[in-house]
Amino acid sequence: MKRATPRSIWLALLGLVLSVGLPLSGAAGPREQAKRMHDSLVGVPPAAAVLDSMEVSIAGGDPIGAAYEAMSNPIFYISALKNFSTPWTNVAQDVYEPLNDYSATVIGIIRDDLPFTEVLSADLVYVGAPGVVASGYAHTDNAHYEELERARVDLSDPALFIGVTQSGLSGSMLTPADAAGVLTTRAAGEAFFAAGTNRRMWRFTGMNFLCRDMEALNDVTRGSGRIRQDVTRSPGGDSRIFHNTCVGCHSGMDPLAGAFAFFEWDAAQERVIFTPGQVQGKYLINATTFTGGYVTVDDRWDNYWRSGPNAILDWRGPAAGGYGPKGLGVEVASSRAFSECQVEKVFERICLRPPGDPQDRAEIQRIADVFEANAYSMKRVFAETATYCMGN
Amino acid sequence: MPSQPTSANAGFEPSLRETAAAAALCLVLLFAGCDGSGGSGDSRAAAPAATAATGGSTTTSGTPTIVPSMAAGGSGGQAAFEATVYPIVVANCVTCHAGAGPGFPHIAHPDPGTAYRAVIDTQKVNLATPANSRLVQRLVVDAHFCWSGDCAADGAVMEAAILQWANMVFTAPPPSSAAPPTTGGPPTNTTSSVISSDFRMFANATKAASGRYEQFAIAIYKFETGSGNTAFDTSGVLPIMDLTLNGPDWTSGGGIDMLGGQAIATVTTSRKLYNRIASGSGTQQYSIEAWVVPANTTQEGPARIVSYSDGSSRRNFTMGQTLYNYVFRNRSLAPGIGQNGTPALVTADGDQDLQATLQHAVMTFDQVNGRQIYVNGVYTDDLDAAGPGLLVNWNQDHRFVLGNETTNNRPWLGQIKLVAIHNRALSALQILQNYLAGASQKFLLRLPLDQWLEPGAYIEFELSEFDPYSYLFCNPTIGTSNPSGFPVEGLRVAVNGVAPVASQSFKNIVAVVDDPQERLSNLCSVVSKDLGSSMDQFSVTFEVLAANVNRMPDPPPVVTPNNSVAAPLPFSGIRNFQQVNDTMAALTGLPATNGAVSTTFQELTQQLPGTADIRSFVSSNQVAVLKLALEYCDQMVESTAIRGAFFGTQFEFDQPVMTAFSDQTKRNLIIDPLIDRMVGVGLTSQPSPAAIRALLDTLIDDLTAGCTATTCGAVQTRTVVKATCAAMLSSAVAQIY
Repeated sequence: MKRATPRSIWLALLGLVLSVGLPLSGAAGPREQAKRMHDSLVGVPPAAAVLDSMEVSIAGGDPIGAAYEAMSNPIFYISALKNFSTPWTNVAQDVYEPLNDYSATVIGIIRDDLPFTEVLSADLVYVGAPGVVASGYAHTDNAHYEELERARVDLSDPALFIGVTQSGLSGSMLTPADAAGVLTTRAAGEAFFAAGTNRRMWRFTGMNFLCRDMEALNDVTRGSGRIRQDVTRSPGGDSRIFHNTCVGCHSGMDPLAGAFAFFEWDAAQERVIFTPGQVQGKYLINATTFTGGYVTVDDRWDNYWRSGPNAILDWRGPAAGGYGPKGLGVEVASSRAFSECQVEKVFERICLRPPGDPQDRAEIQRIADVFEANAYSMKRVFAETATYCMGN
Repeated sequence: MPSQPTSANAGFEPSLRETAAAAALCLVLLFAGCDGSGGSGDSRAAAPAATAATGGSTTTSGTPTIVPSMAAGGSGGQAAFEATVYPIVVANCVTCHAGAGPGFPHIAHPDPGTAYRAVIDTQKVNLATPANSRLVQRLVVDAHFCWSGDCAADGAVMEAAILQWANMVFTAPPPSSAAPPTTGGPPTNTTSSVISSDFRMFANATKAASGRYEQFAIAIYKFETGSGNTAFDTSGVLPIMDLTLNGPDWTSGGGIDMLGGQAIATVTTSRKLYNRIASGSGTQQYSIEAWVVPANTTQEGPARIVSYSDGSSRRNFTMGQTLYNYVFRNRSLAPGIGQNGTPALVTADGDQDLQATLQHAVMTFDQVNGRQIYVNGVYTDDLDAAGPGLLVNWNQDHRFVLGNETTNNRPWLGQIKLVAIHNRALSALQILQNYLAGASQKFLLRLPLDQWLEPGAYIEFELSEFDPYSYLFCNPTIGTSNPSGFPVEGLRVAVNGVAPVASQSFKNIVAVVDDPQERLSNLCSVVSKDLGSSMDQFSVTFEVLAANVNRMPDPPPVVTPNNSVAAPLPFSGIRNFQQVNDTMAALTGLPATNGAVSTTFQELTQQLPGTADIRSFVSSNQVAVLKLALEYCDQMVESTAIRGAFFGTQFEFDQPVMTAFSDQTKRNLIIDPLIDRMVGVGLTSQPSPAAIRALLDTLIDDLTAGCTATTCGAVQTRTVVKATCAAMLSSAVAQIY
């Protein structure tokens, strides 16, 4: 039963809250650094014993070890990584969305220290172990993950939270060659395949994993041969607008979004539909807008941005083109921009600011190097970043 | 009967300005390296000149490559740029376009060479016609960050600078070189490594069959005259129903831009429609066909596109626009239809059939289906509730008008490229046929490839004027007598020797020619005009054509060091909603799954801080934090096990206030654990324990003030503990890091 709180107590409390102000600033020793490291990584203060241990590690010249100790806290997985990845899973970039198969897979890959590049290409999805919660994985709802979250199941425990193949899920339409990490999860489909023309899936892939929205990728100099028929070449009767604006995004985006031509979100069934060999109708709509445009015939994708200004993203994948989302995921994850982006996201999370000066930017490059040299370990990125921003 | 131009370049008479501009273009070519090695030394040496004008850019193999910079003025271009345009962009555009900012391209880069390449590679200047330069248009048309607040003035400054640039790189031409080429002539690029077709102009193209179905057209307007104030009815059906233009402008390639005006016929000539459609001998059926470009999707009225009416409340028919919808009004004897032709047939709101782009709209009426609407060759599925009805109640004194009402009070903004009235309801197939025929006259343009293949070889395009600013090149086809399976790759359509950087749809072609008429692509490419259809010369470059290879790689991307330093941000952050909850659970030892705290957390989630940015923290956040803290402390203190784990077992929770807090030692049983567990031990980054202790002591004093042995029992004791606990749990020491 809830008990009422006397008004006098409320007023007294508010007065005290205002009195106990900001923590004191000043030079940070190993203990303060350990406290900040734990706070920023996990989101909660360390237990006394953990603080003592981390202090010893930092004082002993092993801040990375201290960070790994902090990351052993289950709350790092249950809350910190969940909130880290949740905005990627929906159009509104809302952090309040529930756990889903997209965010769960990000959490699982980080927990198991798999190469993070697999997030866009692996035949993998993380689920609760059988029996952990009442509902099992379903292609048609998110109940399984909401139940995992509500019960605060320890996602750090490999016995409770496991990785399985997407293609092996009961009722899956995918083969191992079709599954592409988070790109082919139910949550991604609901957010980015629903209605529209599937270009949204590319846009958000770029935003989430290259840290670049379309404005940053705009390049009017690419060949326009893959721009679909549904894009007017003369908005309002003025083709200059097309030449100076529209083509900058569509010339690169449309050939990349071709990878998703067989995918659709079925709003009635509330599940992702995959029709191998059959182009979804949304790729062919409004064909009369410009009949001389590209007609999608398969799930071919091409990365025209390997040349031109966007070559600066340093694409290093095995192929500049292919079929289906898996190869596209490899292309994105193989780029230097992918590595830098993951570090930047962690940096902003841990350091509470974007990299703001040359020293920060140099650190981003250094940590990206470490990321790549350590099998794309995101844990290592968190640890390196927390070390950089633990204060001094 | 007025005659209509019929030749391929009809309606495209060069103006004095265009002639001058073409001369200037030739000067650019000459200045930029037209040394005569390309052939005769006459003006047809444009292709090698264009090549040499690249300023020495080379391929990886060391051979010159074409770079779309012909109009920059060749090797002297950068110096001219630095002396003219560069100071302006550096002074006014540097915040965004210097390289570190959000703007692209980097036209104000600190390195003048980089800035120059950014301007040239993305074709931001047009030295032949400075006013058409993107740098000018961006200011004047788009009002893009005008520095003085007067965009026209800023545009004039930029235009003057570009003109100065042009003057610096143009030199006086030999008189014989001033005229533009009019035919392709012999190959012009014999010594160039650029694989280019010969040049050809619109005048060299042959008119393609229109393919339109016009058997029952009784009025046709193609707007090809291009000047004057009369739009001719070219149907040949008497009486000729010419239109007088009151306000519209002609657009290049055939069409009129309404600009709020009207194009109107007389009552007498308009009677043709009544006689052939609605009179006793009329067909009692008809079609209104129009190629239109609505200027926007916000106009309504409905705004009149095509009308046969007399003022805003009486009409025989109207094709109109309301927002995203086409509106079809028709007067008939159908039940419920009045003299205004209403209720109208309107396309469904959700379909948004009308778009502000070039569209083919056809409205048909017959005695079976009533009214029907087709957009871009497709029936819209909108059913006419009124159904069919004879048209004999049409008014024979109405006037035919485009773009407005006869009374000029229902303007429609947009362009009209073709209008036809048929005295039959066109079938779906006939409508599709007319849609596929296109809005503009199509031409076949052959560009010789003799030099690279064999005599007589060519590449052919279907060419038309797309809109006032672009050409449409479609269906490139190689014609050769030796289709040996040779490769073709990387086509770029060039206008006056310059391949526009944007919208080269054939750039990624990879094809093999094994047919005498090998269609390379079914795509179309929208290519920017330069001097206009009467002056522009077209050519095509190839990266691979049979055994000839000339790769044209992109220049390496510009890497701009970012040395900027952002304004300092707070070192500390506030815990977000999830971290607040987790922290309270961790500090109190109460599971976050506890029913009461879980419910409270769900209620308060959106009121708790959403981000770690301490600058966004507001008082409502603090209230939510405090409420949640009270719930945690309440649950903890009411649980013997959990409070025991936190405070130990010595404090007398079940005694009255006067007993439980009777001395400092007892108070410290509460205060000490709170400080140790919530502040941490030995942390210089936290407030001093002594200061906190004093505050908590004062709080307990306040909360117990006035208590007697009988007024404040054990419940009040626990309440004081909860309050003290919540004060710490919700304070900065626990919630800021």
